[in-house]
Amino acid sequence: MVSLKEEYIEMNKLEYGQKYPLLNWVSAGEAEKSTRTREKIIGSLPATAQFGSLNTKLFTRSLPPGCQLCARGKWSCLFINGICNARCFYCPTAQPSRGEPTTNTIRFPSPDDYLDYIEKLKFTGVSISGGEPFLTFDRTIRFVSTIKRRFGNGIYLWLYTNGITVTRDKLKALTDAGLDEIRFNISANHYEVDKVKLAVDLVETVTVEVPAIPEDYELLKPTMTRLEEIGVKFLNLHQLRCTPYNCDNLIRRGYTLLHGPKATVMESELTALRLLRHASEHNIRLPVNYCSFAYKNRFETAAYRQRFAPFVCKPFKDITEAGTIRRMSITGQPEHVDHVVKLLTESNCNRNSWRFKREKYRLTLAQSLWKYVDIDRFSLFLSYYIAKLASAPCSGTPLRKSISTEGRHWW
Amino acid sequence: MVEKKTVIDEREIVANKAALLQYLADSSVYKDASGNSPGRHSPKSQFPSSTDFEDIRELERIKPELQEYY
Repeated sequence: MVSLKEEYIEMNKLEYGQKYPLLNWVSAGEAEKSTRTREKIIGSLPATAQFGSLNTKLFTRSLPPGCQLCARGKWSCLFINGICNARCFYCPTAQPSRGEPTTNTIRFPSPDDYLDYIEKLKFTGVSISGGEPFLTFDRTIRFVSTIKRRFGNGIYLWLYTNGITVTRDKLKALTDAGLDEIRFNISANHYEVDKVKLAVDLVETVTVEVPAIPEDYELLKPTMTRLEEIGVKFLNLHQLRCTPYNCDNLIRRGYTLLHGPKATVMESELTALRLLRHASEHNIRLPVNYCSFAYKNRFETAAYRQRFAPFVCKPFKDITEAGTIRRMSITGQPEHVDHVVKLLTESNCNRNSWRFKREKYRLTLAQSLWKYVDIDRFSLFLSYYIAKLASAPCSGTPLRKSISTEGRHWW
Repeated sequence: MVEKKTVIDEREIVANKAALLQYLADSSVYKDASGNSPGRHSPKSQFPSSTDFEDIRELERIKPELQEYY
């Protein structure tokens, strides 16, 4: 049996191919030492620090409204374009062209189509990201105003920017269109706060959201105080993530990489936690939130799965907390299987909650009916599925072990 | 638009069947095709100790705590 750790290491090797040996993967000794360092930092956090989302998210004071929606799986992120005017060393992807607004691989050239999507899936939060949304400002404002015209306060709407082309007039147009929050990545522009200050006067909530860059630790400490002084409401710190696109830059910086579903930068997490401790110890009132990759990967993925699973989960299957669709089937001696079928029938169990394939003597049951099965008499089979959105019919993209696929139209 | 389902795991469970089923029952969420936020059972049972089911745990529940360093 391959452990998850081994599986992740193999996945990382596959993703980086020939570059894998060039990357600075953590050694056992370094991992042990850094784990102790992390525990020490977390252990020294004052009572104002909070642990959310199964201890994967650490923050002081409170979370931005958008982050609260994210943690509850109520948020859709629309990538409004694919171009950017900043050249950040950590950017995970190329930004080659304007492209079309996209979310979950589905293109939304028209705001109206996106409205239907939001409505159907009952999102209560939308963020507009990119690329850089200000580089296609007309498009951005069209989406913001259309969304807010339809949903009003029913949708909390925020926008990400590097701030470089932000102007007072554009900020005013966005707030007039209904924008609730703007988030600046000031690391893309030498931690300049002029545009942030401009936004504080115009937008209800101004957040600064930057990756935790180890080399910028000393710079970020006074920046936190400065942000508090000018009226920024929240600071979000992300964990740096390695991708095949940015890995050369990360190699040059000598970062230590951690194995996982995606490779992450160990020093980035320790930097974020140290900044959190600094904010707590120095009574900085600006709420600081560490958005770890562990949180993003697990909770955002689970939220995605849970959102789409109900549309395809048949009544004789179940949806798990992780958002997978689980099928539990049993086979066994025909007389034993027949006995369970008889029991289900006589007990007036919902006929949709179980399915019997007589040719295989295979009975599939929803969890609510498992109490009718004496499991020791049967062979037990478990299958897991992930519901995914696709823009066109296809035979499926296997994520782990591809055995078979089945698809269906749902709108 | 099209919804597709992808099988990511399929296996026969041989050992600890009853304990595993109890754990699975506790981590099921209610089906709700209307899109309303589904409720879920309060997980009570412990995961069966066998490491054979380590990946099942990740398919059932969200893993807690920050990522282990390795």
